[in-house]
Amino acid sequence: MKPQEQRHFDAVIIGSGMGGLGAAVELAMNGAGTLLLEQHNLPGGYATSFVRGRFEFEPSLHELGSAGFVESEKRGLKKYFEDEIGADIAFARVPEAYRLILTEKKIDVNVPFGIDAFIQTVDKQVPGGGRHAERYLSLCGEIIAALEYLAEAGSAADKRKLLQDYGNFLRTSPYTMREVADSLKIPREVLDLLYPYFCYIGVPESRQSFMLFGALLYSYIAYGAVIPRMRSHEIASAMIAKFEEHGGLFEANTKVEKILVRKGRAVGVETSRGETILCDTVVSNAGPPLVYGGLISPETEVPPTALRNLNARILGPAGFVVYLGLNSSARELGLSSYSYFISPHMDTDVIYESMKQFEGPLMQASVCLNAAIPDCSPPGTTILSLTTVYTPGVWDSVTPADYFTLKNRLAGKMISQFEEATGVKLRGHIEEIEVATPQTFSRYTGTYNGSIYGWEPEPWDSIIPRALSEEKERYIDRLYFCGGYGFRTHGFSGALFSGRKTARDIISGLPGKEVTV
Amino acid sequence: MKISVKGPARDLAAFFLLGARRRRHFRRATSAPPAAGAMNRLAEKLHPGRLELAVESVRFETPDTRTFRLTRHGGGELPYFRAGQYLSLKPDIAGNRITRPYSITSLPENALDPGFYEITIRKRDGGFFTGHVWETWEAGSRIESSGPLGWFGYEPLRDAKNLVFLAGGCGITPFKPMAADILGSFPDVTILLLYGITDRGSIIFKDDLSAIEEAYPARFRVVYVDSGPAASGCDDRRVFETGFIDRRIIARYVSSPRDATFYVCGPPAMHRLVESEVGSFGLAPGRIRREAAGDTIDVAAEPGYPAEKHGRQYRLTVHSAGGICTIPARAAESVLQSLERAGLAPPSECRSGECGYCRSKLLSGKIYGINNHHGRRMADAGFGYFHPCSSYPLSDLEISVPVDPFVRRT
Repeated sequence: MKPQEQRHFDAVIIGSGMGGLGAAVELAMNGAGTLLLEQHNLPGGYATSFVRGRFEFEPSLHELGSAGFVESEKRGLKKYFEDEIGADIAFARVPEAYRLILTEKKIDVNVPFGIDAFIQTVDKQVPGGGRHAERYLSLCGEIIAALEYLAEAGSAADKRKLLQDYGNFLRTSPYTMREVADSLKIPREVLDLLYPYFCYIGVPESRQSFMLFGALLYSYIAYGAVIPRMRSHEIASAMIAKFEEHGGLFEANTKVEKILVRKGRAVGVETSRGETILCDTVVSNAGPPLVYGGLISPETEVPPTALRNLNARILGPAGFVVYLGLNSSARELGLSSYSYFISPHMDTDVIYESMKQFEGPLMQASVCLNAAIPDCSPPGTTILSLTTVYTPGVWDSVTPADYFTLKNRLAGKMISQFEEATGVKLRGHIEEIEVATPQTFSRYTGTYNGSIYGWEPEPWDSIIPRALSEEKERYIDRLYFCGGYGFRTHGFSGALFSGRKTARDIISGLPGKEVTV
Repeated sequence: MKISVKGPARDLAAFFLLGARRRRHFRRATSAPPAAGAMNRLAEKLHPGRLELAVESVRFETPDTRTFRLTRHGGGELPYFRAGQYLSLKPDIAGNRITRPYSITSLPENALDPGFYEITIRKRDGGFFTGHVWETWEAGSRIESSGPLGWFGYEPLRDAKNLVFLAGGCGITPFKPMAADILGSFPDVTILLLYGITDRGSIIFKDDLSAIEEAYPARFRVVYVDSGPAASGCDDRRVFETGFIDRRIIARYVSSPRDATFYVCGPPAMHRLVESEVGSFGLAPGRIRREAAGDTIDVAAEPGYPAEKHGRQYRLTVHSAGGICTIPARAAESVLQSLERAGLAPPSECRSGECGYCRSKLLSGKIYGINNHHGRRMADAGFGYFHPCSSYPLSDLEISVPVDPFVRRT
């Protein structure tokens, strides 16, 4: 194969996580010459899978919210895949919101999807609590409606209409979950049932943006959730297929080592294979800590304001997951639910503090995949994954010699917590086990310090402030970010849609290009 | 329902001042560059993509088996690992960049202090790689390698307390460090090693295994199973059985097979034998752990392989690194071997399907996948991806192969 000439693309995308894929598909569909580079040998970032023995595990995705069960009400990512890009992904429906087990509070309740069913469950659990849940969810519904209006109107959003139709959204958006719950005078026992999804964001109620939490809660409860039948690797594969179909070029095993910047403008990248690639636009799915912490070349091109922006944030949590392939069926084991949220209590500030110590994390969010996809593993077997999170830094002092015994001990602890809370016996049924730590997440995706999210979304750094300041905070010309650090914050949907929006911003700036949706 | 948190006017002001609040946070922050991520550094220490190693010394185990002690080129500690893991060596032999997985035969702690790995290689008659090793590897030789890889090993949360190691020939290699490491770390574990040999001169690690037996007399026992003409009995305190590792011999030494975890490492023929023999005990599936056997030598012996294809020659049209070329392929060789033979330097690690590092796209043509494409992801089957290391052509193929991340673009 002959030596290659200097390559030039309209856009080079660094990283094929959900953000990079969202940007890549959108750019390619709009005719931009796009190169998508990935350091790993698989696309997808966290959207991936791995095989051990007879089992193929889902590494990261618990559920895609905002699914819409009824065809005509299709929403969110499901709508995006099926109607917008025509990607071929088979989804299974997640059967219920969660089984909540609060061991100290002696709570063990199955919480269903559906607003009415949810309210009834709360009322049954906390007599008279239903009306509080109803008020809370109704407010959350207004948040979703306002966000949808803003997304649709874009820069044409009308302040008067906002004030008139979405006043509650405006008046609650500046606040934390706690501030809003206090003002609504929601009893603690009701909040215990409303707050479990906190673990999908990992920021305590005293600091977490209410608006973001409210949108998340409502999108799950009202619209239900789905999971891809063949793990999230199916999502990544389908998106790569779409990207390539539209003329995009995907190159795996190629790490970007430098983003070349000249006079404040990104002009290309340099890869681990020694190639310099020029482009009009660089889109980074790698987060700001990696980009401003070493990728920008020369270093003198890193704007001090970008670093202040970065240092003002708190990095979201790092993952710890125990993947179990069990040699009995879910029925035989007594696993009847999909999501198990297990914690002594639902005091999110105490839980957050517990994430700062090795032995600490009080809460686990665990998934029995067979409850949604009965044939996800061979007949007579079960896939169960137990997830918790650490604040970044907890694992910093771990040495290679400690690493394997430590992760094994912590995995054992999580297995015991699950066994004690549910009464289900896991030990003795473990056919395959794998444990992912913050190190593992960094290893496979390159993510900074094992963070599986992005910046913690406090009210001043939630969706609206991020979206409104995106352009102002583009400190290097033609260098765009997408993914979990982006305006939509983290999670599969957030990352993907931030990538799509980034692509649309880029396309609308290109001469003669119209955005097609 | 009109909701207000701190008074309607204050709430609205707070909303419209979110941007100002944001800028205030930024103004207060420092402009220090972020530190390198500690987890990213740990990942690099534990799982570097490539290692530059050098042969420090060579010693003979048997007339045809040598142990090579490898240190980091330039010195320093090596990645820690779990006993049972392997290195995927990346030699370049006369312009053909190939890979070969070899179990690490030294202990994990030696990787950190004083900083070496050992690998033990038996020379194969006419072996392309082992011939090269015998001719060229000596103290000072430079060797490129992956970091430690693989999932073969003891897992206390999964495995029984009674472990039975079934080794065939040079399949003994992962068991030496596993025995010493497990016995030293887990006081409640006992190990029986059944070691299949062809004659008493072919025993690798004879003295090392005796030393471990002496250190843990109550918890470690070695039984040599000699398929040669020699009689069974004891010799120099070693126990010998004759024949192959079968259910009869296993039952003689393992009183309760269902309470044990079995580990198998040896040539494909031994895997097939042991599979049926151990299978007769009715163990739970996870209680037999298999070390990936590397390249399948004789694909015609695999179940379901269409025998009439075996001697054929095919053409592979290969898309890689932005170019296209056409190369010949033998039906009896894996797609990976054909790619290597053509000098294309494709990526690979385990050579047995399970790691998926060679994952490539099948654009057209038919392939046979060992073990029904064991290791391949479900979605990959639908989207046309396959693992060249464990796939054999059944027709002309057109494939797209990723670049090796450590081969520089030319």
